[in-house]
Amino acid sequence: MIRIQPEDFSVDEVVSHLQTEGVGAVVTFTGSVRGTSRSGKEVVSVEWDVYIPMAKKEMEAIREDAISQYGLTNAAIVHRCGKQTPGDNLVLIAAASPHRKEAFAACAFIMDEIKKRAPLWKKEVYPDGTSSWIEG
Amino acid sequence: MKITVLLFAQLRDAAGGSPIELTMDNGTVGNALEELCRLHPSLELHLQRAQTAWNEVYCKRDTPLQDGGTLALIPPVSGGGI
Repeated sequence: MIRIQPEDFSVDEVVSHLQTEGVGAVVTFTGSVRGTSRSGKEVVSVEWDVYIPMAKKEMEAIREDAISQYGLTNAAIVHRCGKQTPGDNLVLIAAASPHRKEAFAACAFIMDEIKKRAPLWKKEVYPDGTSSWIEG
Repeated sequence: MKITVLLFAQLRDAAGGSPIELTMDNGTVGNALEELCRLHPSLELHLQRAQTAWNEVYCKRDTPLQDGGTLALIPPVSGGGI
């Protein structure tokens, strides 16, 4: 499952798609909007620019890499686009496998790969109205 | 030959918009970047740190262009939001 969507997601709904026969572990990671940037500045909102067709291709490739490398039963990536404010959900990674060790490792792998490969860009908006595109 | 250039994030801001339609003689991705810098000098510094993708696949700058294709200019990505 790969989704890029402006609306919020339900962890339970995504997990329900992954819990099939043979699955002993589903590990999820949820990223959300912090109220401060890496440098400590207050952030009032974040906005996204996304190369949607290529982002979906890269995320599908990352998902398949994770399934292959970690022996997963399935994996899901949901990434929001549009605009969010502090506390809002941003990204959900879910990895399902027979055993927990592989699911934990795959979850971290998928998140690391998204941050390197997926063509999405976050813009932080600050209280004074200025903004900046974030790198990495 | 005509190609479509897609710019994102700070690259789009520097160029003043996206997409940009380029008309070129046969050439490579690198040639297209040179032409873009000629048309939009403000892009030059940003392009040094950008990756390129030809028809939705990451590519090197010596990749040959084809009529009707799409070149995407990809500044350092920040997906995941963490």
